[in-house]
Amino acid sequence: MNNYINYDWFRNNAYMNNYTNNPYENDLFNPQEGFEKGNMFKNLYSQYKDYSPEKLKPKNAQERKLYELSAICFAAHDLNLYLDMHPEDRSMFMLFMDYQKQANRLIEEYERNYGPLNINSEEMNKSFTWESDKWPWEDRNV
Amino acid sequence: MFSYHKRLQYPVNIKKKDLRMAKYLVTQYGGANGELGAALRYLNQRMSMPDDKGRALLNDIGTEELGHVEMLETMIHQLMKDATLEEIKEAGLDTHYAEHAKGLFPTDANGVPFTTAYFATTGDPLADISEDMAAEQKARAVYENLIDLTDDPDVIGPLIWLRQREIIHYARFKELFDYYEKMFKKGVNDIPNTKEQMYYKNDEYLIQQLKMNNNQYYM
Repeated sequence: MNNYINYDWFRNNAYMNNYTNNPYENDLFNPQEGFEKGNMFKNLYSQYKDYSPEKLKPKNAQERKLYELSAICFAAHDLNLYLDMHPEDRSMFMLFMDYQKQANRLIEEYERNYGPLNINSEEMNKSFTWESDKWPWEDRNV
Repeated sequence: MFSYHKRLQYPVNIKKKDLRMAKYLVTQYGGANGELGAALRYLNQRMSMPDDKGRALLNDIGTEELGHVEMLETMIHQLMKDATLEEIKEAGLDTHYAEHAKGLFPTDANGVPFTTAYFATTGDPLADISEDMAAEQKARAVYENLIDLTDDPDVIGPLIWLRQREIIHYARFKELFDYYEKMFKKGVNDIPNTKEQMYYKNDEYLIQQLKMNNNQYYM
């Protein structure tokens, strides 16, 4: 399987809140699979005809990092919507917090190497690159 | 307030121009069941949601829909940016070109401009959320129609993904609808004898929420 997320690194860093295993392993996709499918929840996933989700293949290191952080951000967001309706679900909250930590770390790492994703990024202290870095609707020859 | 993230929620990289597809796709930008209508409807309706769950869900889904607006804009832009005038005429986009050149303009696939009438807000949570559930189902159906109309994998990928988000949003809205329906039924049918009973008889979390918000449906 051609993963763009480094799962060894992920496993070593995830579930730091005393979770050795993902308690939702049977209910949730992993962040990469969920991101590609557009859905973290196995029981809610529904495929249209025989269209299977696109396998995202990053062209280079920058795109790999972008997809990686997008996947974790997506996973956290989909859990966020669930938690809006089920705020009492403690272990889902823990998993959500783990994804958030991962996401923040990956965003910082990306910004350090490739420029700011947010205007409040601290990786812009040398010069103002917010306006000159590519915008997402432009051709990204990254 | 809102702040901007300089990336798409899901990647869009369309390499082949396709004006006909741009013409169809625009309906998910500015049509009755499009993402712009959805985003603004939810962000508008969240003001009159009666409890924390409703406020949070409408806020968070509305915010995500703004990201989908951006994905649709990107798709339409990439499908038409390299087109020649001849191709624009041939695809029937000459009327669009007359007014907007290659700029984007939110309409449906027949050119009917976006209107705030699509918000369809009543201020009644049950009515508003069933409207939102219907909107998600209609958007899902339109995405399926659009997938049928193209064979470009660069276009199909994001469309499949966006369709899947409609399914999730529908499921969450349905949870909220069922929750509110139960909550309002309790308020109307299960009339307790004293105010105290009214507060402590049922689901404690719910009652607490209602109390805190001085809820008009319950009191």
